[in-house]
Amino acid sequence: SLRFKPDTEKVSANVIQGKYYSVAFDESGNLQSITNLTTGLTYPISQNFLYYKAFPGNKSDSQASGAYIFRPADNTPVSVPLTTWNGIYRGSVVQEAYQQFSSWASQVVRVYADKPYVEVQWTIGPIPTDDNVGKEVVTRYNIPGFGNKGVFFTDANGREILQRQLNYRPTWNLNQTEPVGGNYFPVNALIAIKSGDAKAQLSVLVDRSQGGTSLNDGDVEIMLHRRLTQDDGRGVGEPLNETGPDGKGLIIRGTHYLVLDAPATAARVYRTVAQEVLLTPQLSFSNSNILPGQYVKNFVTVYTGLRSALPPNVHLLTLDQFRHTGPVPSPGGTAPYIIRLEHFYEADEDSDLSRPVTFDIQNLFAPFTVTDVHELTLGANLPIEELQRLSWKTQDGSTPVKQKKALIGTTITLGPMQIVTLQANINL
Amino acid sequence: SCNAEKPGMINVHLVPHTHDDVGWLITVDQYYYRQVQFILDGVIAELQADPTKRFIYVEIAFFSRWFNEQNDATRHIVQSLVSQGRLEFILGGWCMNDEAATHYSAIIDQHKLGFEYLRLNFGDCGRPKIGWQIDPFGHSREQASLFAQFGFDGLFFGRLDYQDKLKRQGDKSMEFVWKGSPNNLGDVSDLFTGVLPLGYGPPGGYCFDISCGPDSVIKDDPRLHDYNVQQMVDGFIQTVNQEAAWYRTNHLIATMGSDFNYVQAHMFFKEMDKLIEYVNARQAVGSNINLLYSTPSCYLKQLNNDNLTWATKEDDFFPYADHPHAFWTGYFTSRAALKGYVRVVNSFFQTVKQVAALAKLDNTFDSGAQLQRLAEVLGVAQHHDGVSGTSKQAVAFDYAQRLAEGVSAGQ
Repeated sequence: SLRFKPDTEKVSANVIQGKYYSVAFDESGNLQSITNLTTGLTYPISQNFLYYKAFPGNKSDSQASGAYIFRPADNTPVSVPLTTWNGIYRGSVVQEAYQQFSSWASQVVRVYADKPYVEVQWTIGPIPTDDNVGKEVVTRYNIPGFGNKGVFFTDANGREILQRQLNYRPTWNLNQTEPVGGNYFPVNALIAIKSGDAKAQLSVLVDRSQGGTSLNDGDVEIMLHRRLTQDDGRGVGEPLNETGPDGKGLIIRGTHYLVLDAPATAARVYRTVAQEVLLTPQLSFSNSNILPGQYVKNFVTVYTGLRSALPPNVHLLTLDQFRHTGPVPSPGGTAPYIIRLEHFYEADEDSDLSRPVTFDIQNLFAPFTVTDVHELTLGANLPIEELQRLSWKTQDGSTPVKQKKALIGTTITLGPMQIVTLQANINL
Repeated sequence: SCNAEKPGMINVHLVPHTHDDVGWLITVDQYYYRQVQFILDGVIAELQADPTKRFIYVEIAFFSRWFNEQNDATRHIVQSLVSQGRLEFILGGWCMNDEAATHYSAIIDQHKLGFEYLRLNFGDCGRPKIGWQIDPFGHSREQASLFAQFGFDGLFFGRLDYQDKLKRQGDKSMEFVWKGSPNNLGDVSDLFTGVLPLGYGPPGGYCFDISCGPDSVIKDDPRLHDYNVQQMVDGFIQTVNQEAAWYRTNHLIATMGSDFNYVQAHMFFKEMDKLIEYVNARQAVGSNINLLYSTPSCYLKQLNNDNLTWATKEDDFFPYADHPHAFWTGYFTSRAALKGYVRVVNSFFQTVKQVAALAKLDNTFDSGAQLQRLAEVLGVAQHHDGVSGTSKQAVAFDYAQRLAEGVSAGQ
């Protein structure tokens, strides 16, 4: 039978580090500073858990916080301070710091030997609501003096990034009625702030959709979990109260990934890390009596589906087979394949990786070559050359009737954020 | 296949529709059994009986459940209605997905799922060309960009910040061209977008659905008590004139339907027949208002024909508040475990699809059907009451259970 020895051991220290990052804690165990070892960028940084008390609604003002609506009773959240510092563990793969904040809030901060980010794994719950006060728990990272001036950035569904500004809307003069609730935006991949001197960007990547904002200078605030006692009157008819398997309240564990970098070089880290966070390795197990050494002799244990790597700014978004036929009639007995490839950088995000890219797909895949390749619209239901859209006149031109094609033969050229959708047959 | 409008008049395009949530207060399958199957049964019968009537259907998770149960004769009837444009598929995704808590890979996949079902059963006549996000709680610029890349001609939605709506009503910017990717894809991602006048339901007092209660019915026999044709017509004309002030063209859209409407399809249609007849009868005495059965694509075509120059927008419609102090920003986080699980299952799904493709399974061991099941549960989970976390707890458990079943299928 196999034996394992834990690789990490507890050390008396207040720093965790790897090749790319060094993170320091104060003697109480609070996060204190973050250093990007590649660029030398170093900043003090704090992290706190807080909760907003939910507005419960009353006879004269019935709008409560609920499943849909975020309305704090008090715009100043309550702090959940760190109570127990469980110290630092170091190993060859990872170094970790264990923090306990309350009976229902804890965290592990990790720096891997070879990963270009700081991992923050939060565990929140069961949120106590015995006092009948709903609570909405957030994490707040803060770099004092960062100078982002109420400006922050959030992604749209994990793709293009939009600029956000406190108490501001680009298209009308906002009369802000909720200085906290009305400054929250959706975060699907990341929320970021840039320093006033343009030297640094703090990006926090998320492992699930969350709400985020930046209320104070140098803040990145993300809502992690909510437990409420009232309904908010939009029809669901029950408070958001997840009681979990034991009825005491749901415990949720998730992860943030912090990237601190110069704005010019941040994208090549956060775009690739975001893909890794979205698409994780899948673990598969089987029972076996064979020793590992013999197993790798008997079976193929390493397989790569691509003959060579894609360019670093291209991602294989879809590899699948149509259920019956594709939109282009194709000969042969088997259903054609659907392939999508995307350039996943925006223009001007990275001096190198934002450039258009050209590559060939005929021999891209290891087990087969592709033939009869046709470009389709994004929904894979129409050949792209058959698309005729209505044209609309705008003040600076008109909308196009045709879409830009990416495919010539088996060669693909993609501009920033361009996705190509293909129907192809495979040759064994 | 569009009913003729009357030039020179204000043409009100009555768009009969039903807003069918793929789970919310009860589960998707409970809604199917209790409501949706009867909606489609009744609507198809009404469409068959009268070639001037129109209906749109949106959520393919429901449509496929119904269509799969029909016999060949009914399927042929439906295909004929679709070919003639009397039944139109709008949006056509597996569901009407949430826009704040969804990842673009899942948005693309769930629309492809619906589109493929429609293509295989209805050909190009079944291809949706218009986005319909009438209920989601705020709108993402990326959603507009993806719709444009699907090849849609336009998008209509219901919810936007109450201050934004007031301004747009006042300066007639309810309809505009939304630049979905101003810095990257450019005009390829431009999408004509319209804010619907009154959320997504009919004007107040004109909900003719059985769920709306008795007061809206038109009583038009002068020999009977409570004859109300005059007030019903006056009231509708008044609403039309109010709305016309918000829009730039002589065309208006009236969404005649709401949540799970048309279970008694005959009732809604019979009342609308009367509304059309009596409002249009006023033209003989000088009214300039014309009602017609229509669809979003017929309405959009009229807007396009007018050849106006439209203002543009480059930002998005988040966050959404429907009243002061009521920002719908809690759901960005609500049910964080379900939100995490949807991501985990999506990651598994992408892997399984790739492995099946690389292994050239080609439906070995029924792999195609298993992948379809996994695709469908993810499609259901993207619903705007699913991953958003705004369903009842029992329904949230149902979403999670489905995802787990999908994972088993994938394994």
